[in-house]
Amino acid sequence: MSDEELIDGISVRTDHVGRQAIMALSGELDLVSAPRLRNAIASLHGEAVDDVVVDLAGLTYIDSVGIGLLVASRRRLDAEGRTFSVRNPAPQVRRLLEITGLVEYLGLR
Amino acid sequence: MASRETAVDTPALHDLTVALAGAASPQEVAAEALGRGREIVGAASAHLSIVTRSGWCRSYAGGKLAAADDIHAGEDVPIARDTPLSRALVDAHGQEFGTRDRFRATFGELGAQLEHTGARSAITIPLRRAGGEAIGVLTYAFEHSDSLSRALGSAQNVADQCAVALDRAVLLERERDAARRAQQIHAAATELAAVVHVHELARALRDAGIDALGAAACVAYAVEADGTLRLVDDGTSDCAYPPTSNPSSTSPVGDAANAADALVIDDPAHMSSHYPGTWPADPAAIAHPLRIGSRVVGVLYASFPAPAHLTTEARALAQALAEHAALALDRCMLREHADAQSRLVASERDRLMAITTSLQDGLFTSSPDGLILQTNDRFCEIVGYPREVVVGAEPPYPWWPGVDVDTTRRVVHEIGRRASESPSTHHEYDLVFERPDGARVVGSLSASPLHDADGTTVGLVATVKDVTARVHAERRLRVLQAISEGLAEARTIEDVARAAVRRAGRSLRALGAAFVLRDHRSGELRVLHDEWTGAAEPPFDVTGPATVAPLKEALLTSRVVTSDPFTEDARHALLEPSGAGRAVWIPICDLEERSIACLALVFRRERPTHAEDVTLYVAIGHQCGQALDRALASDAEHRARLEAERSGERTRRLQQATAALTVATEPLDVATALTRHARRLVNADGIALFASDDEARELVLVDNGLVSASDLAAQVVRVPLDAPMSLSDAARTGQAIWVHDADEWMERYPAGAATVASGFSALVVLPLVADGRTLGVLAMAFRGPLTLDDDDRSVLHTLADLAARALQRAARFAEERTAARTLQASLLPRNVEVTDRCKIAVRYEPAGGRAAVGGDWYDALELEPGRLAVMVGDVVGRGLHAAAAMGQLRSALGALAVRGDPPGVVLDMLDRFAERIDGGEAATVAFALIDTACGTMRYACAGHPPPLVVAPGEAPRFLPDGRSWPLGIGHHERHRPDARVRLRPGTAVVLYTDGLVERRRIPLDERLAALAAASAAGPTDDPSVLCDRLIDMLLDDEPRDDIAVLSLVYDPALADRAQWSFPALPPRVRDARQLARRWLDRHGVAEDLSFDIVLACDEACANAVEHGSAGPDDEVELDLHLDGHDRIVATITDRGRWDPSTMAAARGRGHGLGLMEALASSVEVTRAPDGTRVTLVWNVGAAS
Repeated sequence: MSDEELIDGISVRTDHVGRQAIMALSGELDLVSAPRLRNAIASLHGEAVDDVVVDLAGLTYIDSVGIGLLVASRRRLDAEGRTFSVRNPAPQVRRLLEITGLVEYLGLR
Repeated sequence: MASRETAVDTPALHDLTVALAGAASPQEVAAEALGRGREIVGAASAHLSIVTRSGWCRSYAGGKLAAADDIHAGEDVPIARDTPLSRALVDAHGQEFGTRDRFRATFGELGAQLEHTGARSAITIPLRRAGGEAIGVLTYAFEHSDSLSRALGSAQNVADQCAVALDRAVLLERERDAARRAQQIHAAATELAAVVHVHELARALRDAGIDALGAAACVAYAVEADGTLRLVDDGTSDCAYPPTSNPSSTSPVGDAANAADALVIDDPAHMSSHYPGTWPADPAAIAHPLRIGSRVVGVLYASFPAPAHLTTEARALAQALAEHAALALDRCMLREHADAQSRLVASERDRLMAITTSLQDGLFTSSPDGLILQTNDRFCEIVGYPREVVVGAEPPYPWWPGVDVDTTRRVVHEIGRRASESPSTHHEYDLVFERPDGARVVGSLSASPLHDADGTTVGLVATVKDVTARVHAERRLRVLQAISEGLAEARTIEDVARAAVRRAGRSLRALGAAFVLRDHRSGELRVLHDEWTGAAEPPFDVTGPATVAPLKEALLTSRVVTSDPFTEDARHALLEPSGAGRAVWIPICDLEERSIACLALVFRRERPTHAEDVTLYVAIGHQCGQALDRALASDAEHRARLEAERSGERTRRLQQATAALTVATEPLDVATALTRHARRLVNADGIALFASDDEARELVLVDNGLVSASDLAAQVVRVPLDAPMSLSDAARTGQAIWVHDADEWMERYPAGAATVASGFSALVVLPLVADGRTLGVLAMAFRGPLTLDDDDRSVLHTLADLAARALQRAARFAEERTAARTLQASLLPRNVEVTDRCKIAVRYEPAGGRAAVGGDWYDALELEPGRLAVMVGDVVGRGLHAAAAMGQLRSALGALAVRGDPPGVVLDMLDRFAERIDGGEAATVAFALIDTACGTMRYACAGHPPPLVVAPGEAPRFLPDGRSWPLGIGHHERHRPDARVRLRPGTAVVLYTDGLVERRRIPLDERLAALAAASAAGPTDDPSVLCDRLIDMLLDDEPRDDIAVLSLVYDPALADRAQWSFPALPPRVRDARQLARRWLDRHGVAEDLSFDIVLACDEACANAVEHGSAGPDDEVELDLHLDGHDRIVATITDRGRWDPSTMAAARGRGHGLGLMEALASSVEVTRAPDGTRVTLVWNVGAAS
């Protein structure tokens, strides 16, 4: 499953490795683009996926809606008995996650 | 002791005497003194220093002191202090003796050298002339201390003889030298006398300077007309000296040019201190002014390896050389000037030839009587005649038909007179030429008179531009506009016919025109209207038996028919009797593409019909067709009433209702058509149309104002679909409801009691269903019992079908309108922006009423820091189509603007684009590039009204330049011009679309004057206020087009501020983010801090959009500025009140405020009844 088109300022590419889904984001995650990631994560429902990893390497911008979405995703996947984590944030994105105290919660070491 | 020694050496001394007598140069003397003389004296080493010229000496060494056993001569060097020579020169009798101990003290450097060769003692003897003047010093050195005393006598003898010989040799040498140099000067003078080119002069001077003056380099500078000194170069090699010397800059040549005499520089230090860095550091030089009488023509500059070379003689020679050089230079300069002149003449001739042949414009010269003297290929091309015909042509010109000799001459004279009387005014004359093939071209001619030396006019030179394409395009637009204006007001088919005949006939300058309608049943042809210039009777009977054939052909084929293919006989029979040369028949089709009428146009002159003519005729036919359709509908309605009253024929009424419904584009139209036609069809007493709402939850009365209080629907405006009422029943079930009397009504629908009470007793409710969807219901009520027969019912069903379809179409129209408006709104965000020294405001005022959205647009782009592009454009037409074309043009222009080309070039490129897109034809645009750093604006207008500029303290003015034709009309023969204007601080620029200034029946100039007056009627420092004022003052109740206005105020004081108002829509928040980024970038804010600021502003804006606004009509304002205390202050203002509880709950935005607090130095949220303001502050002083 792959979906690379840049719509609403973001592209979400999902790769499956075993029972892990890796979603690589690039672009900006904000009020406009958040629904796209939300839908992409929701579409994993019912699939044989245990871990969801969101790769933030290509993310140039994230606002509080984006952060809220990451938190909500973690909560929802927890409830489904799956794991959720993010990785590779750019320094500025990482800083924002630090400010909001979410580094650990989102599985960043 | 001395005599003994002398006796011993006598033969040798004699030999020396003989040898010295033959010595003709100091060198030969030295050879003897250091050779034989040294042997006589018995010295191991010898040294001779001779004075070559004042202060300078040359030394020779011999014996062990010489490298080989030979004499060794040095260069001329200044006479050093504390040497044997310097002492000899001072001390008339000085005779120094040296011992080993005193070597250093006595002989200085020489002593050290001698000691090095193993000398133990030495003697120095001055060589003197008869008068006692020392001319050299001879030194002999010995390897034994005791040799000295023995050699004293012989040394003195040798020295005496050497002194005599040296004196003579030096003199001889000087004479020889002088003679040689004089000869060289003479040779140089001879050479210089023959020199004619500056290159040769440079070479001759260089050679003469080196050979005759003994200079290291010798150059000349020529004085130019402006006083600049220009190096006379030899055209081959590089030169150490600067190519020019400005009279105001310091250089030896500059100083010499202003000096009376030669400037002699004999101190290397002087050179470097007086002319530091600007002139080569020559150790010595002479700069000699070159004069012819008192006139300085140049400077001769000779540099020397050492000041010693600057002898009196050298100076004299330099002067001699300078005299010859001056003459030669003057001659060369004259020659060069003459050459330059002739080159200029030649190049000017070439250039003129190039212009004449390659010019896009035609060019010709003529005698005052119009005899064509010269021309270029382009002119021949424009008029279509070969050069042989054009050159030598006299009035009447073959390419100017119908203009006789006298007229032509008069025109030629008049053109010459105007050009002479007001040479500064540019006169242009559009003349129509005819090529041999009959094709007509429009040439725009401008001319200037040619004068001879006495100022007498000897002819004209004229350029001719082929403006045919432009004129055609303009004519086409003008004609179509004239016709559509006329047709817009046509109510009846007679009106249409009159408008078509009059407008088309006049604007196409036809001899006459006729509008013929074909009765769709009988096929009968009827002339509805015709007009013939100056004729009481129609000279051409378009429906006459002999002339009707082409008309029928046009109606039959639905194609434009012209008289072009007529045979001579046909022409003779059809056209000539009426004095016509040409005729066209334009078919006019209805909506279903059936030819229902024909517009015949008859022209006096015979000419071929061109493709562009046919395009125009088709467009005219199309316009007439639309107008005719409209008129037929309303006309039919009018007649239907009369006819229905007369015959009571139901079908007839239905037909009229059909016609009215067919043209309905809105539910209101449908309602009106039904009220007018359906009601009479079945003699209903009340009728009402209800439409389903979008979600099919209720029925809503379509109130067309014709439903009076006593009428059927007086109390019923909205009916829920599940209500127990007849209306909702019909809508729900899709079945017609027939209520035959009041009893039945009350029984079936008790809710209708009020209606029954108001006098109605029977009811018909027809569901309006199209494509399986119930769009509404049609209700008809009767004051008596229902008396409809089957035919009536079937007619009503048909009517309901038609009404349903009309409603469906209206809904589609509405959708399109909405879509177009939405598209336009999304393309044209309302905003006010402050960015990079400019404050920009825009307004978009859609045309009122039912008109679909138009194609007006605007944009403002910051291309890069310091460069701003603003544009306003207008696409022909309305609706979704126009909005889409507008969007494409707008983004194309934005993309093209980024390349940074001048506006004219940008519009040329946009032109190509406009031709390819649907709807791009005849689009207009005003485009301006603003350099915000230096306050200049470069602009170009393609068929667009001129930009208005209001500078503080000055009257408003329209920018007249940079004008070109509309886009997409296929005119590429010239490049589009642009122009430049300076913007003083506070200057306002207004770009607008023609909707602001164009009104029917009011001359454009009047409206433009009104616009200028409106701009001056108040402050112009706030573009938002300015836009509002312009629209307020210029908008009236007259029908008009859409209006787009963009105002910009240039204000360098705003460099530190960015401000943006935007509709409360999430995508606009992104735009605001971009704005903030750009601004922070421009101010060099560090990346991390910039990220924080952008994020915090974004959060605040997002909050404002989500919580602070009722909808997209509300605006949010973002303001960023440096406050002068090293603080960046961001203010975000909206019109609502944030509710913290809903904010926290909403979509994860709870982080928003917390984030802002974490990111900014301070956050302040001010809630007021009319809005919320967030102020974010960053202290950047400490960081930077």
